[in-house]
Amino acid sequence: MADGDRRLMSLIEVDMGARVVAEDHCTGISSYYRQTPTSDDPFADLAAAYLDQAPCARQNPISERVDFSLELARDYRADAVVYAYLKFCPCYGMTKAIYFDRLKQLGIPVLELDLDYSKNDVGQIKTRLEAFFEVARKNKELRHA
Amino acid sequence: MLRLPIAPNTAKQTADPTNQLEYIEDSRTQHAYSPAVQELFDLAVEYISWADGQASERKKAVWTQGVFEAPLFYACDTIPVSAIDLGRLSSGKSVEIAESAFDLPKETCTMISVLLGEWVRKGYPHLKRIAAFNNACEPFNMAYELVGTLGYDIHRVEGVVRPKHADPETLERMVAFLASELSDTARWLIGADVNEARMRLEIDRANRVQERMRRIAALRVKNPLYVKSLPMMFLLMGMGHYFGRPERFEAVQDKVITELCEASFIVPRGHHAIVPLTWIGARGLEFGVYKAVDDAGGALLGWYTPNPYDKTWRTDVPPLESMARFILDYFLATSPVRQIEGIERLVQGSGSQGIFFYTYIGCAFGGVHVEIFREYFQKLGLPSIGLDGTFQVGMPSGQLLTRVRAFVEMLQKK
Repeated sequence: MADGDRRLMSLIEVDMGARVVAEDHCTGISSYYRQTPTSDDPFADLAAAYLDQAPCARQNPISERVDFSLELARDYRADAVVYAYLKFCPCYGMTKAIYFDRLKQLGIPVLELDLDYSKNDVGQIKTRLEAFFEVARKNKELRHA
Repeated sequence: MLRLPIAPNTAKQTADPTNQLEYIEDSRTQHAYSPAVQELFDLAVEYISWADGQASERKKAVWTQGVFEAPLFYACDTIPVSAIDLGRLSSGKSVEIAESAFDLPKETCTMISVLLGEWVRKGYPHLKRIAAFNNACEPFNMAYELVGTLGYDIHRVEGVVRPKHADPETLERMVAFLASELSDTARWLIGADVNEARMRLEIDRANRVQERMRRIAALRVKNPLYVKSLPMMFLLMGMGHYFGRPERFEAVQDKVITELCEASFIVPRGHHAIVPLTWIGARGLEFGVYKAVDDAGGALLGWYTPNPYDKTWRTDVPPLESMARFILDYFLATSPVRQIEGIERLVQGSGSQGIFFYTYIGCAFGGVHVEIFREYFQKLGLPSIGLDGTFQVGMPSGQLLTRVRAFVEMLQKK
Protein backbone atom coordinates (compact mmCIF):
# COMPACT_ATOMS: atom_id res chain seq x y z
CA MET A 1 0.00 0.00 0.00
CA ALA A 2 1.16 3.49 -0.71
CA ASP A 3 2.13 5.45 2.36
CA GLY A 4 0.11 8.48 3.38
CA ASP A 5 -3.18 7.20 2.12
CA ARG A 6 -4.71 6.47 5.51
CA ARG A 7 -8.29 6.78 4.26
CA LEU A 8 -7.96 3.25 2.86
CA MET A 9 -7.11 1.91 6.31
CA SER A 10 -10.15 3.64 7.69
CA LEU A 11 -12.38 2.21 4.96
CA ILE A 12 -11.11 -1.31 5.60
CA GLU A 13 -11.20 -1.28 9.39
CA VAL A 14 -14.03 1.12 10.20
CA ASP A 15 -16.41 0.76 7.28
CA MET A 16 -15.76 -2.88 6.36
CA GLY A 17 -15.10 -4.22 9.83
CA ALA A 18 -12.03 -6.11 8.64
CA ARG A 19 -8.65 -6.06 10.39
CA VAL A 20 -5.35 -5.22 8.73
CA VAL A 21 -2.93 -7.69 10.33
CA ALA A 22 0.23 -6.68 8.51
CA GLU A 23 1.33 -3.75 6.36
CA ASP A 24 4.00 -4.22 3.75
CA HIS A 25 4.44 -0.91 2.00
CA CYS A 26 6.83 2.00 1.56
CA THR A 27 7.05 2.63 5.29
CA GLY A 28 5.57 -0.63 6.49
CA ILE A 29 6.88 -3.38 8.66
CA SER A 30 9.74 -4.57 6.45
CA SER A 31 12.30 -2.23 7.97
CA TYR A 32 11.76 -3.85 11.37
CA TYR A 33 12.55 -7.33 10.12
CA ARG A 34 16.25 -6.56 9.91
CA GLN A 35 18.90 -5.74 12.46
CA THR A 36 21.40 -2.94 12.06
CA PRO A 37 24.93 -4.38 12.29
CA THR A 38 26.99 -3.20 15.26
CA SER A 39 30.62 -3.46 14.20
CA ASP A 40 33.44 -0.99 14.98
CA ASP A 41 32.50 1.08 11.96
CA PRO A 42 29.16 2.74 12.72
CA PHE A 43 29.00 4.58 9.40
CA ALA A 44 29.43 1.33 7.47
CA ASP A 45 26.81 -0.25 9.72
CA LEU A 46 24.38 2.53 9.04
CA ALA A 47 25.07 2.39 5.30
CA ALA A 48 24.42 -1.36 5.31
CA ALA A 49 21.23 -0.84 7.27
CA TYR A 50 19.98 1.87 4.95
CA LEU A 51 20.69 -0.25 1.89
CA ASP A 52 18.81 -3.22 3.34
CA GLN A 53 16.07 -1.38 5.14
CA ALA A 54 15.31 1.50 2.80
CA PRO A 55 11.55 1.54 2.61
CA CYS A 56 11.16 2.13 -1.13
CA ALA A 57 10.41 -1.00 -3.12
CA ARG A 58 13.05 -0.04 -5.66
CA GLN A 59 15.80 -1.00 -3.25
CA ASN A 60 15.31 -4.76 -3.40
CA PRO A 61 14.96 -7.36 -6.13
CA ILE A 62 11.37 -8.27 -6.84
CA SER A 63 11.87 -11.88 -5.74
CA GLU A 64 12.88 -10.76 -2.22
CA ARG A 65 9.99 -8.34 -2.01
CA VAL A 66 7.41 -10.92 -3.03
CA ASP A 67 8.87 -13.56 -0.72
CA PHE A 68 8.67 -11.15 2.18
CA SER A 69 5.06 -10.18 1.45
CA LEU A 70 4.02 -13.81 1.23
CA GLU A 71 5.85 -14.64 4.41
CA LEU A 72 3.88 -11.90 6.17
CA ALA A 73 0.61 -13.16 4.73
CA ARG A 74 1.40 -16.66 6.02
CA ASP A 75 2.77 -15.59 9.42
CA TYR A 76 -0.21 -13.38 10.14
CA ARG A 77 -2.65 -15.88 8.61
CA ALA A 78 -4.18 -13.28 6.34
CA ASP A 79 -7.49 -14.23 4.76
CA ALA A 80 -7.03 -11.77 1.92
CA VAL A 81 -4.62 -9.19 0.53
CA VAL A 82 -5.40 -5.66 -0.57
CA TYR A 83 -2.78 -4.64 -3.12
CA ALA A 84 -2.94 -0.86 -3.22
CA TYR A 85 -0.48 1.29 -5.13
CA LEU A 86 -0.20 4.86 -6.21
CA LYS A 87 -0.82 5.62 -9.87
CA PHE A 88 2.47 6.14 -11.74
CA CYS A 89 4.48 4.18 -9.17
CA PRO A 90 6.30 1.64 -11.35
CA CYS A 91 7.80 -0.23 -8.39
CA TYR A 92 4.41 -1.56 -7.30
CA GLY A 93 2.32 -0.94 -10.42
CA MET A 94 4.47 -2.71 -12.98
CA THR A 95 5.30 -5.70 -10.82
CA LYS A 96 1.82 -6.44 -9.50
CA ALA A 97 1.31 -9.48 -11.74
CA ILE A 98 4.22 -11.26 -10.07
CA TYR A 99 2.61 -10.72 -6.65
CA PHE A 100 -0.79 -11.82 -7.91
CA ASP A 101 0.57 -15.04 -9.39
CA ARG A 102 2.30 -16.00 -6.15
CA LEU A 103 -0.72 -15.11 -4.00
CA LYS A 104 -2.93 -17.13 -6.31
CA GLN A 105 -0.65 -20.13 -5.82
CA LEU A 106 -1.19 -19.79 -2.07
CA GLY A 107 -4.94 -19.50 -2.55
CA ILE A 108 -5.08 -16.02 -1.03
CA PRO A 109 -7.61 -13.70 -2.71
CA VAL A 110 -6.24 -10.31 -3.68
CA LEU A 111 -7.88 -7.00 -4.54
CA GLU A 112 -5.99 -4.54 -6.71
CA LEU A 113 -6.55 -0.86 -6.02
CA ASP A 114 -4.74 1.84 -7.94
CA LEU A 115 -5.04 5.00 -5.95
CA ASP A 116 -4.03 8.59 -5.86
CA TYR A 117 -4.42 11.09 -3.06
CA SER A 118 -7.64 12.55 -4.42
CA LYS A 119 -10.91 12.09 -2.57
CA ASN A 120 -13.24 11.61 -5.50
CA ASP A 121 -12.84 7.85 -5.77
CA VAL A 122 -13.86 6.95 -2.20
CA GLY A 123 -17.30 5.69 -3.23
CA GLN A 124 -15.86 3.49 -5.93
CA ILE A 125 -13.20 2.06 -3.61
CA LYS A 126 -15.80 1.38 -0.96
CA THR A 127 -17.98 -0.54 -3.41
CA ARG A 128 -15.05 -2.65 -4.55
CA LEU A 129 -13.97 -3.35 -0.97
CA GLU A 130 -17.50 -4.41 -0.01
CA ALA A 131 -17.67 -6.88 -2.89
CA PHE A 132 -14.18 -8.17 -2.21
CA PHE A 133 -14.69 -8.74 1.50
CA GLU A 134 -18.02 -10.39 0.92
CA VAL A 135 -16.35 -12.96 -1.34
CA ALA A 136 -13.36 -13.31 0.98
CA ARG A 137 -15.63 -13.96 3.98
CA LYS A 138 -17.61 -16.55 2.04
CA ASN A 139 -14.37 -18.28 1.04
CA LYS A 140 -13.23 -18.32 4.63
CA GLU A 141 -16.53 -19.80 5.81
CA LEU A 142 -16.28 -22.49 3.15
CA ARG A 143 -12.74 -23.32 4.21
CA HIS A 144 -13.80 -23.71 7.84
CA ALA A 145 -17.07 -25.51 7.11
CA MET B 1 15.78 33.30 -38.83
CA LEU B 2 17.85 32.05 -41.73
CA ARG B 3 17.04 33.61 -45.11
CA LEU B 4 18.01 31.16 -47.77
CA PRO B 5 18.02 31.18 -51.55
CA ILE B 6 15.07 29.27 -52.95
CA ALA B 7 16.08 25.95 -54.45
CA PRO B 8 13.76 23.56 -56.22
CA ASN B 9 12.45 20.81 -54.00
CA THR B 10 12.46 17.72 -56.15
CA ALA B 11 11.29 15.36 -53.44
CA LYS B 12 8.33 13.23 -54.43
CA GLN B 13 5.15 13.84 -52.43
CA THR B 14 3.73 10.66 -50.91
CA ALA B 15 0.67 9.78 -48.86
CA ASP B 16 1.02 10.39 -45.14
CA PRO B 17 2.94 7.56 -43.45
CA THR B 18 1.09 5.55 -40.83
CA ASN B 19 3.87 3.69 -39.03
CA GLN B 20 7.56 4.05 -38.24
CA LEU B 21 8.83 2.07 -41.21
CA GLU B 22 6.65 4.12 -43.53
CA TYR B 23 8.07 7.31 -42.01
CA ILE B 24 11.54 5.99 -42.76
CA GLU B 25 10.49 5.14 -46.31
CA ASP B 26 9.01 8.61 -46.66
CA SER B 27 12.25 10.13 -45.41
CA ARG B 28 14.23 7.96 -47.82
CA THR B 29 12.15 9.44 -50.63
CA GLN B 30 12.68 12.95 -49.29
CA HIS B 31 16.43 12.23 -49.23
CA ALA B 32 16.60 10.47 -52.58
CA TYR B 33 19.58 12.69 -53.41
CA SER B 34 21.64 11.41 -50.45
CA PRO B 35 23.35 8.01 -50.62
CA ALA B 36 24.62 8.63 -47.07
CA VAL B 37 21.12 8.94 -45.64
CA GLN B 38 20.01 5.81 -47.50
CA GLU B 39 22.90 3.89 -45.99
CA LEU B 40 22.14 5.27 -42.55
CA PHE B 41 18.55 4.02 -42.75
CA ASP B 42 19.79 0.64 -43.99
CA LEU B 43 21.96 0.36 -40.89
CA ALA B 44 19.18 1.47 -38.57
CA VAL B 45 16.47 -0.77 -39.96
CA GLU B 46 18.69 -3.85 -40.10
CA TYR B 47 20.31 -3.26 -36.71
CA ILE B 48 18.40 -5.53 -34.33
CA SER B 49 17.79 -8.40 -36.75
CA TRP B 50 21.42 -8.23 -37.86
CA ALA B 51 22.60 -8.38 -34.23
CA ASP B 52 20.23 -11.27 -33.57
CA GLY B 53 21.67 -13.06 -36.57
CA GLN B 54 25.20 -12.49 -35.29
CA ALA B 55 24.19 -13.88 -31.90
CA SER B 56 22.73 -16.97 -33.57
CA GLU B 57 26.17 -17.51 -35.11
CA ARG B 58 27.67 -17.44 -31.60
CA LYS B 59 29.02 -13.90 -31.79
CA LYS B 60 28.73 -12.04 -28.50
CA ALA B 61 25.74 -9.68 -28.43
CA VAL B 62 24.11 -8.26 -25.32
CA TRP B 63 21.10 -6.03 -24.74
CA THR B 64 21.86 -2.69 -23.16
CA GLN B 65 20.63 0.90 -23.23
CA GLY B 66 22.82 1.82 -26.17
CA VAL B 67 23.78 5.33 -25.16
CA PHE B 68 27.34 5.35 -23.81
CA GLU B 69 28.36 1.70 -23.59
CA ALA B 70 29.98 1.34 -27.02
CA PRO B 71 33.69 1.62 -26.04
CA LEU B 72 33.40 -0.99 -23.29
CA PHE B 73 31.28 -3.40 -25.30
CA TYR B 74 33.32 -3.26 -28.47
CA ALA B 75 36.51 -3.62 -26.45
CA CYS B 76 34.94 -6.82 -25.16
CA ASP B 77 34.08 -7.99 -28.70
CA THR B 78 30.42 -7.69 -27.82
CA ILE B 79 27.75 -6.08 -29.98
CA PRO B 80 25.70 -3.65 -27.89
CA VAL B 81 22.09 -4.28 -28.81
CA SER B 82 20.08 -1.24 -27.86
CA ALA B 83 16.92 -2.16 -26.01
CA ILE B 84 15.55 1.30 -26.71
CA ASP B 85 16.05 0.88 -30.43
CA LEU B 86 14.25 -2.46 -30.29
CA GLY B 87 11.21 -0.57 -29.08
CA ARG B 88 11.66 2.16 -31.64
CA LEU B 89 11.02 -0.11 -34.61
CA SER B 90 8.56 -2.32 -32.78
CA SER B 91 5.36 -4.00 -33.86
CA GLY B 92 2.10 -2.11 -33.56
CA LYS B 93 0.91 -4.75 -31.11
CA SER B 94 3.81 -4.51 -28.64
CA VAL B 95 2.01 -2.44 -26.03
CA GLU B 96 -0.97 -4.75 -26.08
CA ILE B 97 1.29 -7.80 -25.76
CA ALA B 98 3.14 -6.31 -22.79
CA GLU B 99 -0.05 -5.23 -21.04
CA SER B 100 -1.43 -8.69 -21.44
CA ALA B 101 1.76 -10.54 -20.42
CA PHE B 102 2.54 -8.45 -17.35
CA ASP B 103 -0.81 -6.86 -16.50
CA LEU B 104 0.83 -3.44 -16.77
CA PRO B 105 -1.07 -0.43 -15.47
CA LYS B 106 -2.39 1.87 -18.17
CA GLU B 107 -0.11 4.70 -17.08
CA THR B 108 3.07 2.69 -17.76
CA CYS B 109 5.47 4.60 -19.97
CA THR B 110 5.04 3.37 -23.53
CA MET B 111 8.80 3.32 -24.11
CA ILE B 112 8.93 0.55 -21.53
CA SER B 113 5.82 -1.34 -22.57
CA VAL B 114 6.79 -1.57 -26.26
CA LEU B 115 10.16 -2.88 -25.22
CA LEU B 116 8.64 -5.52 -22.95
CA GLY B 117 6.14 -6.39 -25.66
CA GLU B 118 8.93 -6.96 -28.16
CA TRP B 119 10.92 -9.11 -25.76
CA VAL B 120 7.85 -11.25 -25.19
CA ARG B 121 6.81 -11.30 -28.85
CA LYS B 122 10.11 -12.37 -30.32
CA GLY B 123 11.68 -14.21 -27.41
CA TYR B 124 15.17 -13.78 -28.88
CA PRO B 125 16.54 -17.24 -28.04
CA HIS B 126 20.08 -16.17 -28.95
CA LEU B 127 19.97 -12.81 -27.21
CA LYS B 128 19.27 -13.64 -23.62
CA ARG B 129 21.72 -11.41 -21.74
CA ILE B 130 20.98 -7.88 -20.56
CA ALA B 131 23.42 -5.37 -19.10
CA ALA B 132 21.08 -3.29 -16.97
CA PHE B 133 22.51 0.10 -16.14
CA ASN B 134 20.69 1.28 -13.05
CA ASN B 135 21.09 4.92 -14.02
CA ALA B 136 18.05 4.46 -16.22
CA CYS B 137 14.61 5.43 -15.00
CA GLU B 138 12.64 3.38 -12.49
CA PRO B 139 10.20 1.89 -15.01
CA PHE B 140 13.21 0.65 -16.96
CA ASN B 141 14.59 -1.00 -13.83
CA MET B 142 11.22 -2.64 -13.21
CA ALA B 143 11.14 -3.81 -16.83
CA TYR B 144 14.41 -5.64 -16.20
CA GLU B 145 12.80 -7.31 -13.19
CA LEU B 146 9.88 -8.43 -15.33
CA VAL B 147 11.92 -9.65 -18.24
CA GLY B 148 14.09 -11.57 -15.79
CA THR B 149 11.07 -13.81 -15.22
CA LEU B 150 11.23 -14.77 -18.91
CA GLY B 151 14.64 -16.35 -18.54
CA TYR B 152 16.83 -13.39 -19.47
CA ASP B 153 20.17 -13.17 -17.67
CA ILE B 154 20.31 -9.70 -16.10
CA HIS B 155 23.57 -8.10 -15.00
CA ARG B 156 23.00 -5.02 -12.87
CA VAL B 157 25.43 -2.14 -13.22
CA GLU B 158 24.88 0.00 -10.16
CA GLY B 159 24.86 3.67 -10.95
CA VAL B 160 25.68 6.82 -9.06
CA VAL B 161 24.02 10.18 -9.39
CA ARG B 162 26.26 13.19 -9.55
CA PRO B 163 24.90 15.79 -7.16
CA LYS B 164 24.55 19.44 -8.02
CA HIS B 165 27.38 20.29 -5.67
CA ALA B 166 29.97 17.57 -5.12
CA ASP B 167 33.29 18.21 -3.46
CA PRO B 168 36.21 16.81 -5.48
CA GLU B 169 36.87 14.01 -3.00
CA THR B 170 33.28 12.76 -3.16
CA LEU B 171 33.32 12.93 -6.92
CA GLU B 172 36.50 10.87 -7.08
CA ARG B 173 34.90 8.22 -4.86
CA MET B 174 31.95 8.10 -7.25
CA VAL B 175 34.27 7.74 -10.22
CA ALA B 176 36.14 4.89 -8.54
CA PHE B 177 32.92 3.09 -7.63
CA LEU B 178 31.49 3.40 -11.12
CA ALA B 179 34.76 2.30 -12.71
CA SER B 180 34.69 -0.82 -10.53
CA GLU B 181 31.12 -1.54 -11.65
CA LEU B 182 32.22 -1.21 -15.28
CA SER B 183 35.14 -3.52 -14.62
CA ASP B 184 32.69 -6.10 -13.22
CA THR B 185 30.57 -5.65 -16.31
CA ALA B 186 33.53 -6.48 -18.53
CA ARG B 187 34.11 -9.65 -16.51
CA TRP B 188 30.43 -10.54 -16.89
CA LEU B 189 30.66 -9.95 -20.64
CA ILE B 190 33.80 -11.93 -21.38
CA GLY B 191 34.81 -13.66 -18.17
CA ALA B 192 38.02 -11.61 -17.96
CA ASP B 193 39.28 -8.10 -17.41
CA VAL B 194 38.77 -5.71 -20.29
CA ASN B 195 41.77 -5.28 -22.56
CA GLU B 196 42.70 -1.70 -21.72
CA ALA B 197 44.69 -1.09 -24.90
CA ARG B 198 41.70 -2.20 -26.93
CA MET B 199 39.36 -0.02 -24.94
CA ARG B 200 41.62 2.98 -25.51
CA LEU B 201 41.21 2.43 -29.24
CA GLU B 202 37.45 2.31 -28.79
CA ILE B 203 37.55 5.54 -26.79
CA ASP B 204 39.46 7.11 -29.67
CA ARG B 205 36.71 5.91 -31.96
CA ALA B 206 34.03 7.37 -29.66
CA ASN B 207 35.81 10.71 -29.78
CA ARG B 208 36.02 10.57 -33.58
CA VAL B 209 32.30 9.84 -33.72
CA GLN B 210 31.59 12.77 -31.39
CA GLU B 211 33.78 15.10 -33.40
CA ARG B 212 32.09 14.14 -36.66
CA MET B 213 28.69 14.72 -35.10
CA ARG B 214 29.73 18.22 -34.05
CA ARG B 215 30.87 18.82 -37.63
CA ILE B 216 27.56 17.56 -39.00
CA ALA B 217 25.65 19.77 -36.56
CA ALA B 218 27.70 22.81 -37.62
CA LEU B 219 27.21 22.06 -41.33
CA ARG B 220 23.47 21.67 -40.81
CA VAL B 221 23.30 25.18 -39.40
CA LYS B 222 24.46 26.39 -42.81
CA ASN B 223 22.29 24.00 -44.80
CA PRO B 224 19.55 22.92 -42.40
CA LEU B 225 17.36 20.66 -44.48
CA TYR B 226 19.82 18.68 -46.55
CA VAL B 227 19.79 16.11 -43.77
CA LYS B 228 16.38 16.55 -42.22
CA SER B 229 15.27 15.81 -38.70
CA LEU B 230 14.57 12.07 -38.85
CA PRO B 231 17.94 10.97 -40.24
CA MET B 232 19.59 13.41 -37.85
CA MET B 233 17.87 11.64 -34.98
CA PHE B 234 19.15 8.29 -36.26
CA LEU B 235 22.67 9.70 -36.63
CA LEU B 236 22.50 10.77 -33.01
CA MET B 237 21.23 7.40 -31.83
CA GLY B 238 23.91 5.62 -33.79
CA MET B 239 26.53 7.42 -31.73
CA GLY B 240 25.55 5.22 -28.80
CA HIS B 241 26.00 1.82 -30.45
CA TYR B 242 27.01 2.36 -34.09
CA PHE B 243 24.11 0.06 -35.03
CA GLY B 244 26.43 -2.85 -34.25
CA ARG B 245 28.81 -2.01 -37.08
CA PRO B 246 31.32 0.66 -36.04
CA GLU B 247 33.27 0.90 -39.29
CA ARG B 248 30.14 1.25 -41.39
CA PHE B 249 28.71 3.86 -39.06
CA GLU B 250 31.90 5.90 -39.20
CA ALA B 251 31.84 5.63 -42.99
CA VAL B 252 28.24 6.88 -43.03
CA GLN B 253 29.20 9.86 -40.90
CA ASP B 254 32.03 10.67 -43.30
CA LYS B 255 29.70 10.45 -46.27
CA VAL B 256 27.17 12.73 -44.58
CA ILE B 257 29.90 15.30 -43.99
CA THR B 258 31.13 15.09 -47.58
CA GLU B 259 27.61 15.48 -48.94
CA LEU B 260 26.86 18.41 -46.63
CA CYS B 261 30.04 20.16 -47.72
CA GLU B 262 29.15 19.79 -51.39
CA ALA B 263 25.37 20.18 -51.23
CA SER B 264 23.30 23.07 -52.47
CA PHE B 265 20.64 24.56 -50.22
CA ILE B 266 17.44 22.64 -49.72
CA VAL B 267 14.39 24.58 -48.62
CA PRO B 268 10.95 23.23 -47.87
CA ARG B 269 8.19 23.61 -50.41
CA GLY B 270 6.28 26.85 -49.99
CA HIS B 271 8.59 28.43 -47.43
CA HIS B 272 11.23 31.03 -48.01
CA ALA B 273 12.66 30.95 -44.53
CA ILE B 274 13.65 28.28 -42.08
CA VAL B 275 13.13 28.52 -38.35
CA PRO B 276 16.14 27.11 -36.46
CA LEU B 277 15.01 25.11 -33.44
CA THR B 278 16.39 23.01 -30.62
CA TRP B 279 14.95 19.67 -29.52
CA ILE B 280 15.31 18.80 -25.85
CA GLY B 281 14.33 15.58 -24.16
CA ALA B 282 13.50 12.12 -25.42
CA ARG B 283 14.28 11.14 -28.98
CA GLY B 284 10.86 9.71 -29.45
CA LEU B 285 9.15 7.21 -31.62
CA GLU B 286 6.80 9.71 -33.13
CA PHE B 287 8.63 10.26 -36.37
CA GLY B 288 5.63 12.22 -37.58
CA VAL B 289 6.55 15.04 -35.21
CA TYR B 290 9.92 15.45 -36.93
CA LYS B 291 8.22 15.41 -40.30
CA ALA B 292 5.74 18.04 -39.13
CA VAL B 293 8.58 20.31 -38.00
CA ASP B 294 10.37 19.95 -41.34
CA ASP B 295 7.22 20.37 -43.40
CA ALA B 296 6.21 23.48 -41.46
CA GLY B 297 9.51 25.14 -42.27
CA GLY B 298 11.36 24.45 -39.05
CA ALA B 299 14.75 22.82 -38.73
CA LEU B 300 15.95 21.00 -35.63
CA LEU B 301 19.55 22.16 -35.43
CA GLY B 302 20.30 21.70 -31.74
CA TRP B 303 19.66 18.37 -30.04
CA TYR B 304 19.82 17.76 -26.33
CA THR B 305 18.89 14.08 -26.16
CA PRO B 306 20.35 10.94 -24.61
CA ASN B 307 23.09 11.21 -27.26
CA PRO B 308 25.14 14.28 -26.36
CA TYR B 309 27.60 15.38 -29.02
CA ASP B 310 29.30 18.12 -27.05
CA LYS B 311 31.27 15.72 -24.86
CA THR B 312 34.73 14.24 -25.14
CA TRP B 313 36.03 11.03 -23.63
CA ARG B 314 39.19 11.65 -21.65
CA THR B 315 42.28 9.89 -22.98
CA ASP B 316 44.65 10.91 -20.19
CA VAL B 317 43.17 8.50 -17.61
CA PRO B 318 42.65 4.71 -17.57
CA PRO B 319 39.82 3.73 -19.96
CA LEU B 320 37.35 2.50 -17.34
CA GLU B 321 37.87 5.70 -15.39
CA SER B 322 37.35 7.67 -18.60
CA MET B 323 34.05 5.91 -19.09
CA ALA B 324 33.01 6.53 -15.50
CA ARG B 325 33.77 10.23 -15.90
CA PHE B 326 31.87 10.37 -19.17
CA ILE B 327 28.83 8.80 -17.52
CA LEU B 328 29.01 11.10 -14.52
CA ASP B 329 29.04 14.03 -16.87
CA TYR B 330 26.14 12.57 -18.77
CA PHE B 331 22.68 13.91 -18.32
CA LEU B 332 21.09 10.72 -17.00
CA ALA B 333 23.49 10.73 -14.07
CA THR B 334 23.47 14.33 -13.11
CA SER B 335 21.23 17.06 -11.74
CA PRO B 336 19.10 18.86 -14.33
CA VAL B 337 20.42 22.18 -13.04
CA ARG B 338 23.92 21.13 -14.12
CA GLN B 339 22.65 20.42 -17.61
CA ILE B 340 21.34 23.87 -18.39
CA GLU B 341 24.74 25.26 -19.33
CA GLY B 342 25.20 22.59 -22.01
CA ILE B 343 21.72 23.18 -23.37
CA GLU B 344 22.37 26.90 -23.59
CA ARG B 345 25.50 26.26 -25.64
CA LEU B 346 23.49 24.12 -28.04
CA VAL B 347 20.75 26.71 -28.37
CA GLN B 348 23.24 29.48 -29.05
CA GLY B 349 25.41 27.38 -31.37
CA SER B 350 22.44 26.48 -33.53
CA GLY B 351 20.99 30.02 -33.50
CA SER B 352 17.70 28.51 -32.35
CA GLN B 353 14.63 30.71 -32.27
CA GLY B 354 12.61 28.27 -30.23
CA ILE B 355 12.75 25.05 -28.27
CA PHE B 356 10.75 21.83 -28.32
CA PHE B 357 10.65 20.00 -25.01
CA TYR B 358 9.61 16.42 -25.63
CA THR B 359 8.74 13.84 -22.98
CA TYR B 360 6.69 10.69 -22.87
CA ILE B 361 3.35 10.79 -21.15
CA GLY B 362 3.80 9.37 -17.67
CA CYS B 363 7.56 9.90 -17.62
CA ALA B 364 8.19 11.60 -14.30
CA PHE B 365 11.91 11.40 -14.89
CA GLY B 366 11.95 13.49 -18.06
CA GLY B 367 8.91 15.57 -17.21
CA VAL B 368 10.37 17.14 -14.08
CA HIS B 369 13.69 17.91 -15.76
CA VAL B 370 11.93 19.56 -18.64
CA GLU B 371 9.97 21.85 -16.34
CA ILE B 372 13.22 23.07 -14.78
CA PHE B 373 14.69 23.72 -18.22
CA ARG B 374 11.53 25.44 -19.47
CA GLU B 375 11.41 27.84 -16.59
CA TYR B 376 15.02 28.83 -17.18
CA PHE B 377 14.60 29.52 -20.91
CA GLN B 378 11.26 31.22 -20.38
CA LYS B 379 13.05 33.78 -18.21
CA LEU B 380 15.52 34.34 -21.04
CA GLY B 381 12.57 35.09 -23.34
CA LEU B 382 13.15 32.14 -25.65
CA PRO B 383 9.85 30.65 -26.86
CA SER B 384 9.33 26.99 -26.17
CA ILE B 385 6.62 24.38 -26.34
CA GLY B 386 6.21 21.18 -24.34
CA LEU B 387 5.18 18.07 -26.23
CA ASP B 388 3.81 14.99 -24.47
CA GLY B 389 4.46 12.07 -26.74
CA THR B 390 4.16 8.33 -26.67
CA PHE B 391 6.28 5.43 -27.83
CA GLN B 392 3.46 3.69 -29.66
CA VAL B 393 3.78 2.73 -33.29
CA GLY B 394 1.69 4.90 -35.57
CA MET B 395 1.00 8.50 -36.35
CA PRO B 396 1.21 11.18 -33.66
CA SER B 397 -2.10 12.57 -32.51
CA GLY B 398 -3.62 15.36 -34.57
CA GLN B 399 -3.49 17.61 -31.54
CA LEU B 400 0.25 17.10 -31.16
CA LEU B 401 0.90 17.84 -34.82
CA THR B 402 -1.30 20.93 -34.72
CA ARG B 403 0.68 22.27 -31.78
CA VAL B 404 3.97 21.63 -33.57
CA ARG B 405 2.82 23.39 -36.73
CA ALA B 406 1.33 26.32 -34.82
CA PHE B 407 4.55 26.82 -32.88
CA VAL B 408 6.72 26.88 -36.01
CA GLU B 409 4.27 29.18 -37.80
CA MET B 410 4.24 31.54 -34.85
CA LEU B 411 8.03 31.79 -34.97
CA GLN B 412 8.01 32.34 -38.71
CA LYS B 413 5.80 35.37 -38.24
CA LYS B 414 7.97 36.91 -35.54
